[in-house]
Amino acid sequence: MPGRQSRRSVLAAIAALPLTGTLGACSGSGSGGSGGTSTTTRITFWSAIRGSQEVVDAFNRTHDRVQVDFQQIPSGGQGGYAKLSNAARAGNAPDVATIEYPEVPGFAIDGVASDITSLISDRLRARLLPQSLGLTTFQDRTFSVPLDIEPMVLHYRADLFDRYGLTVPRTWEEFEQTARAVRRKAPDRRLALFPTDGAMNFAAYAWQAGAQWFDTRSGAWNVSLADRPTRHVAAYWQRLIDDDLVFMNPGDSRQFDAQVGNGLILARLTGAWDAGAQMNERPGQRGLWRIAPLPQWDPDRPAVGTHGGSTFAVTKDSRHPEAAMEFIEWQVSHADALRARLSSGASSAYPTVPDLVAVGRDAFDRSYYSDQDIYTLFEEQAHAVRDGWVWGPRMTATSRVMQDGFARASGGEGTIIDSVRDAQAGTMPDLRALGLSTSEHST
Amino acid sequence: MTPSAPATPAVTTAPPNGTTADGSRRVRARDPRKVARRRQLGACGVLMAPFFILLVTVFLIPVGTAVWLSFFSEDQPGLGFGPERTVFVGLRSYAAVLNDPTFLSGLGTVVLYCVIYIPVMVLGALALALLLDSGVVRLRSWAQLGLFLPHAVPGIIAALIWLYLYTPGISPVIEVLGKADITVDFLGVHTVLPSIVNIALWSNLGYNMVIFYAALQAVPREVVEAAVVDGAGPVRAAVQVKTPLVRPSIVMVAMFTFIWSLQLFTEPMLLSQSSPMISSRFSPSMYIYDAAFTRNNYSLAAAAAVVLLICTIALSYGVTRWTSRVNSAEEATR
Amino acid sequence: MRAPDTRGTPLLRPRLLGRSAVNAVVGISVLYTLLPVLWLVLAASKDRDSLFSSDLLSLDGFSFVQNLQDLFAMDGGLYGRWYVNSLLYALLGAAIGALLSVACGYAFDKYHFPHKEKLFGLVLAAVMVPQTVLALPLYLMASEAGVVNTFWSVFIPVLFNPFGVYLGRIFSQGYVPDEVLEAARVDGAGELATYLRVALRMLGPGLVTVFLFQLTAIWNNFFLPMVMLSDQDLYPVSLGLYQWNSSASVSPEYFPVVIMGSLLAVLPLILAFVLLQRFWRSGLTAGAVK
Repeated sequence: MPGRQSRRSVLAAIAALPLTGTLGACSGSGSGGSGGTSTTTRITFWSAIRGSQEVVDAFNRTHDRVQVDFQQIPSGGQGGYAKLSNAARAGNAPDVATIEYPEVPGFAIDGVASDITSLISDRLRARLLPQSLGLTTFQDRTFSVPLDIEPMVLHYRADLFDRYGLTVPRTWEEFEQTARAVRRKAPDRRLALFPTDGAMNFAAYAWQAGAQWFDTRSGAWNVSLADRPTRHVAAYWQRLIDDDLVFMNPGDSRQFDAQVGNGLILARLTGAWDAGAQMNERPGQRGLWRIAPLPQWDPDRPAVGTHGGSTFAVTKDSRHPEAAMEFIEWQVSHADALRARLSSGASSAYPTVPDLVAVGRDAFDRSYYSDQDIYTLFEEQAHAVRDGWVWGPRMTATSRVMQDGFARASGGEGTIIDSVRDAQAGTMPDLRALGLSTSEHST
Repeated sequence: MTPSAPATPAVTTAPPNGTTADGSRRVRARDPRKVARRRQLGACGVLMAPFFILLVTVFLIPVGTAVWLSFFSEDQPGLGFGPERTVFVGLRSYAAVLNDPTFLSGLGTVVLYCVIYIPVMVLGALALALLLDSGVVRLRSWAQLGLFLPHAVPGIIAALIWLYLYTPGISPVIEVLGKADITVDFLGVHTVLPSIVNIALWSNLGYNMVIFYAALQAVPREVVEAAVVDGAGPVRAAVQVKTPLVRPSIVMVAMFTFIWSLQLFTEPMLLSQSSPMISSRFSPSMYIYDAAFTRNNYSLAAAAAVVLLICTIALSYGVTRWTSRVNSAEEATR
Repeated sequence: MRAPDTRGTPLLRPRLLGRSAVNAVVGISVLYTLLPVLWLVLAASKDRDSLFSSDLLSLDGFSFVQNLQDLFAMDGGLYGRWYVNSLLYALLGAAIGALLSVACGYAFDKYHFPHKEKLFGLVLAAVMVPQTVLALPLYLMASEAGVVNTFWSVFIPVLFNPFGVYLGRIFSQGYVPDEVLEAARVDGAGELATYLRVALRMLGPGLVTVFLFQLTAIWNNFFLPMVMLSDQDLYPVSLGLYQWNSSASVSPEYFPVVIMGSLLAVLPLILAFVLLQRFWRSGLTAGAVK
């Protein structure tokens, strides 16, 4: 908050001096006491997560002192983050904002997500999965509360696997053999997609393999996107691409919709959340999909990375941080909140509060997945999430540069590892210009 | 046209400043001229003030702010989670920009764009102007209007039209080429830049042609006829006689085309919605937008903007110096 | 066949072959500039399916009126708002902007004061400064003034038109003889009164030219609204179509409305340029010969 203040006042001093006459009255009013009795606190909440409306309704039904005004906003990459940044710049960010894990450091550095260490009750802290809280805590200060943790899993077409006599791959080596088999047996189909807009997918592969893109030892951002595990993973996927064993196109596109809708793709490598999204988007494929653990490099020492997952932050513009935190705590840890979310039929969020898993298991409608107990699978996988991963301070920009490289690679120019190196080279100037302490490594 | 009618009442309102009688005017001989001068300056000030208020607020202060922002930063030392404080950072942001491969590749893209675009544009517009000026083109003014028309199409819509003409399934161009067994991906790795050049060419060809045409019209006929008498054919007359005479226009068009090219933004921004080959930092202007509004890195954006500004100034200064040197050298040889 | 142009001496007259080659080159160039516009007109009359599948010239899936209705119904009639906004920004902005810059250009021509040419150089320099350089500072200033995401944040910056000052000075030289001013002064007319009652009338055609160029520039404006505005209701057409086009990559029902919207957005300018040919020609000539 004080940081923000300094930026604004400095700009006021230099930019607005000759305009002083017209300035002055610009303090944001409007959000204050909107009707209601003095005992009711109204807070605002922005989210792109499916099922949020149901959760807010359930909260408002059961609470009198705090009432929530909810606004559904586009997902981060579709303009949601730009909207949040703009609002914060204009001084009217919502009380509670939804931020995905990779962007938490960035919004914390920009001062949008405020330090809520002292607001989080010990009770809540004790209930959260430590791996997830670790991703939102820097230098012992917590900037947001995790809602879900999303281990990457393998969603696959059980019917097509049967038709072509394939078994679910348990290792990446088997995955490659399966991919070759699919191409041989059904030349127009592929086992999977390497999404050109999938820096986050690639991050999950690297995370699983033991990469450490960022770390914050000795008080500096140490960056090593092209470390040894990452180079290994990049070489693996490059081989699959070069041998034409996977599709390579954007994942957020009509092309990919058609590939999944027409059964051209046999497997999706995404987070646990995607089970609910799939249910919602393609009701016609009921009963065709199953979920399995992600293939491993070393089955004796299983590990996974996460793909997706959201957190809730109290923004610097919130006038009621305690009320905001009350809502956040209820949202992430109360059984009714999870039930409301799953009742939307569009969510399969895996909660970061382990004692809610049983609630999810009961509330989730399993019929789409032919009664497979996917919450138990998620639970096992969540415990396999490798600890110690750190997201970088400008993750949106880093991913974009990487994805620009992926897109060029799909056009035959450059490789995956080139894209990763470009992403690092395109990130460092940003961090330096922000005045952060940095170092670069390549192992 | 005749000012007398509105002017008469003004005479009766004139007196306040002491021109009561002939006698007094002789006594304070310098005063009326001073008064008139002051009145003129006052009117001049009134006429200029609104524009200059705008100039200061939406031009000078912003440029100053950009320069200021590029030298200062709200630093948070270490990992960046501490409180911000504004510090003077000298050339740090410039160092960051000039070491950023994505910015440099954006500059490279624009240079390559200029290398393709400017010669094609200038030669094309000049050739069309010469053809129209040759006097053999039928329906000359209709042809001019037709060529000029794309300039009335807003840049974003020109880009939209061409985007659709580049999109397989919608585009009749691709369909026709397909029938001839030619497949072109207009938005591929190597084709996307020429595709953008084409949009700019389409928009501006006619505009520049009209400028050249106007300049050619001002060429004295006797000069051309003298050349013809010396035995020059129509092509030689056009290339060797007329073209050198409109060189100032050519230089001006080339320079402005260059300056506008450095600002390349709208077309790639729109095409980037459909082609992953256009990154969010495709051109310097897109880099600045991205740095300021998606990376929230003001000093980096400001430094990049100042670098772009310096390139623009250097370019126009260089061109001006070069032309004046060429001109004086020519005068010396005459 | 018409007789050769009066300007062509018999020696200059090219042979028939050259003549038809010249006409062919010009003809092809005109096709290059006009066909995309024609495509826009044809495509605007197609419904979504025939846009993607059928022959452009066939009448299958003709739905011009339907597309028009869809356009104004889409997203609660946003397009109509955008159109009105564009008209407001462009007509009002160009009118006020042209008046301000021509007044300033006139003053540069008719009055003498110290450092005049240096000041004029500053105005010319402003023509060349990229808008991207100004956008971030303007945004931050508007932010401080609390006018970000308002009509004014776009309207005020577009009034600034240094090229109009340049044109205004040239037109003032050409259209307003100094003797007229002298005569008015002898008659004792006030300077401003002379400008408003005499000079401005003579500058009329020049004013229209500056207005026309500024109208185009504002109608084309994309970068500034994109930076300043987040409220869709304030968008001009250019930014609105940009946004709809991005939606079209996910939901194809936007394609026909984007195409129809583009057509409607182009029409007023094409109309203005066709009807006001005399003016823009004189503007370009003034720029070229100087």
